[in-house]
Amino acid sequence: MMLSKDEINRYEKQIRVNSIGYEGQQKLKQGRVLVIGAGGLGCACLQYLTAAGVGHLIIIDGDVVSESNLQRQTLYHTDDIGLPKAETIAAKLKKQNPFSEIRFLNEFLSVNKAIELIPQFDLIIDCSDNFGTRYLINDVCVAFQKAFISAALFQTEGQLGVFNLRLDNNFSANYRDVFPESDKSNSALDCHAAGVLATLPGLFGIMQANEAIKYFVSPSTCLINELLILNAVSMQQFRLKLTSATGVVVPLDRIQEYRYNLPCAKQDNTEMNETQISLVLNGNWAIIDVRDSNEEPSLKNSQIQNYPLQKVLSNHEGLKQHQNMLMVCRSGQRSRQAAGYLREVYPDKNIYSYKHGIEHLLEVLNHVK
Amino acid sequence: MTNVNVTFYGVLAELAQKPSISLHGVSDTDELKQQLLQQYPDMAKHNFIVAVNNQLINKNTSITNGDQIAVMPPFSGG
Repeated sequence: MMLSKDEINRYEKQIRVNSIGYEGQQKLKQGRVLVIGAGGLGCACLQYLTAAGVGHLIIIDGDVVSESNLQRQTLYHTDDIGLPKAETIAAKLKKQNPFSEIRFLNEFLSVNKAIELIPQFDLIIDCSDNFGTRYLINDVCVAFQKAFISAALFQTEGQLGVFNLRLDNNFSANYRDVFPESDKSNSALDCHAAGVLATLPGLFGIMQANEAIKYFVSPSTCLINELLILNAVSMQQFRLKLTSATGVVVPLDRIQEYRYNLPCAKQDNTEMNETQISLVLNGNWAIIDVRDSNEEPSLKNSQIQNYPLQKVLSNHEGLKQHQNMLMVCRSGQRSRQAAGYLREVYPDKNIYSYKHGIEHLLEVLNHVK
Repeated sequence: MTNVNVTFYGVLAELAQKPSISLHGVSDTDELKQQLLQQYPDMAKHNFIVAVNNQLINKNTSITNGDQIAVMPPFSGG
């Protein structure tokens, strides 16, 4: 696959690197990478994979942006709070490099999804934040003989390894070779509970992208049969030598029944459609119009309160009195963000977004009258 | 008498309240683990691995004077 003149201009500096060259850049363009997790590691890793010219990327994450992410998940901004991470980051990456094909899935990796997706890619990057997902990625990658690059963080320290890389006669060590699963696995805290230095996911996400480039260009130079540990305070590095193939493998037919402790979507059923709307019209619900106050058509109805999205994100006090809220805007985008955000703030309230937008809601309201 | 340096990572360093300690008179990694758990009982709540001179070990391994030991839990944050 030839590089266009524009691509050669864009990647010129990288093509000049002896170990990459034109051929290496072509390999990156053909590369198909699945990135699991669009949090701190994902933000850093994806930004560099996209910049470096990896041709095909798919991002899977079921989480939404929350305020406490912004300190380290640098591709999200205050305006993105409440939006799905995978979709939001994909939109930014598309602007970053039009030569990369960027796709996304707003869902957490399930066992079935892992079995469906992983065989379709050359390389898997584990940017997840929980053990259930890490073991699932490992087991499916081992079953389908796919290499994966994993990083994980704790406060000011991180771990990085390239696992299950095909060698001459066998495969390099995998995650279970390093950390056999234990019923104590869940005692390790995630970033949210344990705290994490802002720059740490950046350092490790970029190292993952660095290993990914090497995987496509010269796989023998990847960090295999080793686990790298870096302390970002002391800046001391420790390289743990691993022995591959300790024999801990979960066969594919058992993965389906294996009990992975996977995260579940907080965003389930945020959107409400026209058939569900009768619930709102009959019950004790507030309809919150999150458009700016000057947008047409203006709504005059005792059940409807105008409360623009920016105000929702900055000061939601005025909505506190409602137990049940249906957010609405012109097209369903801003209302979805508002609902996602408010669900984080008020986990006990019933908060939905009307997916068909304001014009459609008006029609439904008129029809009911 | 063996004298080894043990380096802690992640939550284990938090529990020990220091990055490393010296241990005396341990002849293998099983003994080393026992001594650590005696000194820091809360470490028993965590899953961790042991490395001798940078090599991950999967079974009881003898320790000689001056060996560098590392004990490390898996991290999960991302």
